[in-house]
Amino acid sequence: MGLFNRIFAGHKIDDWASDYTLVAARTLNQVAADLIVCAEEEVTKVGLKDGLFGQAAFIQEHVAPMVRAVAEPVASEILDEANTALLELVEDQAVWVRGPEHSEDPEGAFEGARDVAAAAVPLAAGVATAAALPFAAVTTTTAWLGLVTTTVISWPVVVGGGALAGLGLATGVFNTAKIRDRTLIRLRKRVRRFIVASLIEGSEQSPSILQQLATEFDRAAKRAKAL
Amino acid sequence: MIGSLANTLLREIPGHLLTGVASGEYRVAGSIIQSVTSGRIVGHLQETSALSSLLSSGPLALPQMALEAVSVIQNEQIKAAVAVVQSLQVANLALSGISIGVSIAGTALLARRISRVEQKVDAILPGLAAIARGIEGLRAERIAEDFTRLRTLADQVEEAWLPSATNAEWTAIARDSHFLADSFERRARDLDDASDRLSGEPFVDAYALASGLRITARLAAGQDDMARQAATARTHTLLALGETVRLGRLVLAAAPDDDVAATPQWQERMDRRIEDFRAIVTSARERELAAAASAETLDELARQEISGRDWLEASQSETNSPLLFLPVGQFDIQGDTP
Repeated sequence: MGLFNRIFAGHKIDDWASDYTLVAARTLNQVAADLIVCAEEEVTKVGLKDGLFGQAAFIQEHVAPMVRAVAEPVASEILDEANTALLELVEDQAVWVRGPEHSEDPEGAFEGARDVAAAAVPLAAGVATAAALPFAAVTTTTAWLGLVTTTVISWPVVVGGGALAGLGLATGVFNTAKIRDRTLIRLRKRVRRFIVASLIEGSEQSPSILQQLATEFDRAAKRAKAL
Repeated sequence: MIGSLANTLLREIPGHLLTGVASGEYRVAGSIIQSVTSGRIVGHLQETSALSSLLSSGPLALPQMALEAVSVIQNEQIKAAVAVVQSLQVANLALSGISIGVSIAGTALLARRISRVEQKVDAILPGLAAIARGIEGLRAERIAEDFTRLRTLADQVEEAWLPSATNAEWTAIARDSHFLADSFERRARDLDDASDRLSGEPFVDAYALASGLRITARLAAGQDDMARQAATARTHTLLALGETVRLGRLVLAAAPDDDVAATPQWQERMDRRIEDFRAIVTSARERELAAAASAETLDELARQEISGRDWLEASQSETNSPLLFLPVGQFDIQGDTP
């Protein structure tokens, strides 16, 4: 393939990566919104004790599995669709190189296009594994953002609030309904933060599904262009 | 007036190609007409003095300008020329300074283009004050000086076409514009390293303009091999500078605060950012394609043993047709292309 066609094809592949990054963003934002609504049902069932002292456990036991159950198939579906689109793109390019504009080793060029097509296939497995990692991490290690947040940032707040509330309960000063309301507000925020961090805006150490997908799309595009 | 290339170049784009472009069978990318289905390049376009006259007669937006011009002049020939330029959408190419023989566009057009790029640079400079302090090349006076040199070079290109000029003039222009192009490229890269990528965009435009002058000068000096090398190098440099200009990446990097994540507001803000960045990304991609198309055209000239100087002279002396057309390979003017 000549320089011009190579660049044109590269642009198409870059567009593919961008398009599916934005598809993933739109989809995962909607999924996050739906999950927050779903999680609300669970939140309303939380008792005062769990709300005050077991927020981390609540997220780990109730929210994380829900996020995983919903988000993994969605991520896989996006990946499947993206891979199909990439293969179609590459097939179109293969047609181009079968009848190159100049006599420039057409067979060799076609081989390259086939390599691109082949390279796209294992992508699904690779990305699916990568996309699943945070959820695997939930059950195997505490190094994931949700749990780090629980441990490092939120605990002092929960402990402080809990201690104060505990005092209130003991002395009968506080209205338990109000305490529960406040607890649930805090829990809701924490659930929301967990879902958003998992799906949309993670950290460098624990990227969200969206960030991982975007990275994988970029990586796949770079690989496909290099072949 | 296409002189020695009268048997090679066409002064009109074949009708079936114009129809094919309109129907989507062919597309125009930079200076190239290409089959959409096979990817085959069927011909190369070269803007002429006639096109620069059309573009110089009004504001930069060709369709509006052209219609105004036509309503005044009522000239059927001009109408036909405008129709061709519009149908092939090549006005932007002529104005970008990336096409071959950038000086063919005329000094006035080139000066306008340089001014536009300089205005963009001026617009970003205040925001870069902190970065600029640490980078010598980003000092405002140095930048202004280089834009002045760029304008001077554009004027010198015009002078170098005069009969008394020698190849030495062209060689000097090629060397100076090469140096200037490198200076603009370095600024783009410095900004790339020091801030967000889009700050460097105007310098990428400036790089493209300066390197366009270099290519023109090499062609005019009869140094076609050096022109081809410069055109290929420019393409690769533009690709490298545009590497991070990707819509998905830019939009995600500028994603709204996670306060609004998981809400319709988040998506609305993302949509606005997509629209904001799309024009910049499209412009960068068009610039890369135009540069690659120019390199491809120069290779085609070599294949057909057409000298760059003859090519430039043909396009400069043509005052009626806005575009010249160089068919590729065996070409049936009636419609069938192999």
